[in-house]
Amino acid sequence: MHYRRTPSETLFRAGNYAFLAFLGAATFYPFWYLVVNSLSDPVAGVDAMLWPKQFYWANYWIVADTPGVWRALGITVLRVATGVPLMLVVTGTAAFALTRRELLGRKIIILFFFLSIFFEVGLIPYYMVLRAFGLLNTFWVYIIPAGFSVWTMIVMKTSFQGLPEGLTEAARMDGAGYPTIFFRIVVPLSIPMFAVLGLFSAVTHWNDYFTGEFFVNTEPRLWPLQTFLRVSRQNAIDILKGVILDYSNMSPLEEEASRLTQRSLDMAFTVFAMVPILLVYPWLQRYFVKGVLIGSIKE
Amino acid sequence: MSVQRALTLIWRQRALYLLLLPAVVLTFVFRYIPVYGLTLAFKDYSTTLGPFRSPFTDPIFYNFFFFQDPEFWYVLRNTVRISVAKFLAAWPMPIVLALLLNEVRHRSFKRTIQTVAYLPHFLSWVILARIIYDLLSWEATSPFNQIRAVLGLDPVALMGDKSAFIPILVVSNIFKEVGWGTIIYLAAITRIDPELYEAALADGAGRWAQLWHVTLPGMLPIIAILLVLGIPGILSAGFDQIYNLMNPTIAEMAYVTDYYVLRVGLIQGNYAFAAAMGLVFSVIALALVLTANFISKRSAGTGIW
Repeated sequence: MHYRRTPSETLFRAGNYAFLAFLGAATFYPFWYLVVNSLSDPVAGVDAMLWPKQFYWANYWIVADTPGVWRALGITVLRVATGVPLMLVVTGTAAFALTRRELLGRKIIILFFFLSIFFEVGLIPYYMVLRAFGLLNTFWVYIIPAGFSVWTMIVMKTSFQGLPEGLTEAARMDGAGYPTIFFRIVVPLSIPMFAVLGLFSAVTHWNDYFTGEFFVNTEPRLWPLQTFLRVSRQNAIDILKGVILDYSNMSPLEEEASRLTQRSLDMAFTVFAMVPILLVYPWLQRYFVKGVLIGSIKE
Repeated sequence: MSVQRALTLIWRQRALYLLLLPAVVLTFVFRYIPVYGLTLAFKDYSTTLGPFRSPFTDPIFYNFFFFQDPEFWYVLRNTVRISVAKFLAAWPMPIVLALLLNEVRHRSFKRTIQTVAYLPHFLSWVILARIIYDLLSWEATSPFNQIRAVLGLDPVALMGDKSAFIPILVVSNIFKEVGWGTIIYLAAITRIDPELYEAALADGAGRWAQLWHVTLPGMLPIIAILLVLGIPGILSAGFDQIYNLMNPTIAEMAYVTDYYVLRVGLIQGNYAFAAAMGLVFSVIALALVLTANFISKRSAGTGIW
């Protein structure tokens, strides 16, 4: 019914397709450029724009050999693997308990959670609490404060309330306790929702450099990949010195070459940190539209 | 209800309270104790005594004398300038893009564009800043300077140019979030009653008239809500983006509220001053949230909460 084309409409359609294609290309190009340059010879291929020039794998081998890289990746993976389940369990059980209308003091507890999102207390008091509880410079600072989220709880609560009540009531009649009802009945029925929220939480954990840089600042051994990437960019030369380069008696030409080497190494490193997100991206994309809509405008 | 009956009830529901306990503890520790920690703003901080036992300052508002510091006012102005520029430039983009995507009839084309457009949202600013640096680097071989060369222009160091910093923030913010922002508008478009289009068609409305009289009005409520929701953001210019894109040459351009508190507090160690500043920013932010909610309730009939 929408089809009734006039010449001006045809023109608009053509323009629209061309514009969107351009926009897509412009969004994609920065990533492509990064990959192309990380695969080009650091010196001779420095001006590669569309395709690798003098194909060069070594950047990736050097990144893989940089001390601490795998450790940082391990920290990130460990963080995602522990932080996400923790958040889902803590938030999920709380959301479930709040859906039970027989819960005494339910309104007060809900108010307790809601009030907490009104004021952003700010960085310094938060830092002081982390310090007072001995969380600074430990692995726990990555996962414990992120173990509960009021926004996520609201999404979960809404979702649980949409489940058929008969199922839980029947289990209750059979004498099942609340934990059993939650883990045996509610959770299996809510797997897609847990998957969405888990993926979002995983991306947040993966992308967080801040906690590592400022709350784990004296323990570089505990830095996740993003913090490592950020700091190594600042001190890339120092790191590289330890790996392949000795600057002490270099000619200007050699120094320029080492600078370019460092540049393309940085690029390979960035690709390295980006790949895992790209790997989960198809799943993210399948779920996230739903995720945005159930969570309204969460982030 | 007698006390005894209430206690019996609570005991019977102990499993429910147990399920709630971890969330309550975490909220109390990480959201409520910091509220008490705000008293630090009125204290003479001593490392040995810690934030909770340090004595109060005399006069009590001693830590708030930063109001007399021109730097504080500069930071405030700079923050508002950056966030307003970013918001005004970014706000209409997802609306336009959603409307354009809605006109596409080839599903695979549409999905490809969407896939590419959503991607930057999921990458961190650490990574995006790295890429932006490479694209705009001062070297003659960077893509930006190669394009300039084609146009007959000399290479420039855009990342070290103070006047370019805000435009870079504005554009890179759109790059990261425009695709993501379309989702909510596309959803609003699909919820528009198809009969409205049929009625418009019967009245002889062309594509353009349909867009203007059916699609846009259908999107209006969500447009209004998102506009209002932008108000509280005035005081946060986007820490991650700025912190990762800044460099020593243009550092003064990057002085925004979040960064200022971080620098004075965590980097320089003036915790009490930083807490006082943070308190002022929090109070303004809260006032902005309440304002946004008030406007939203007045105009759209629904508040943020």
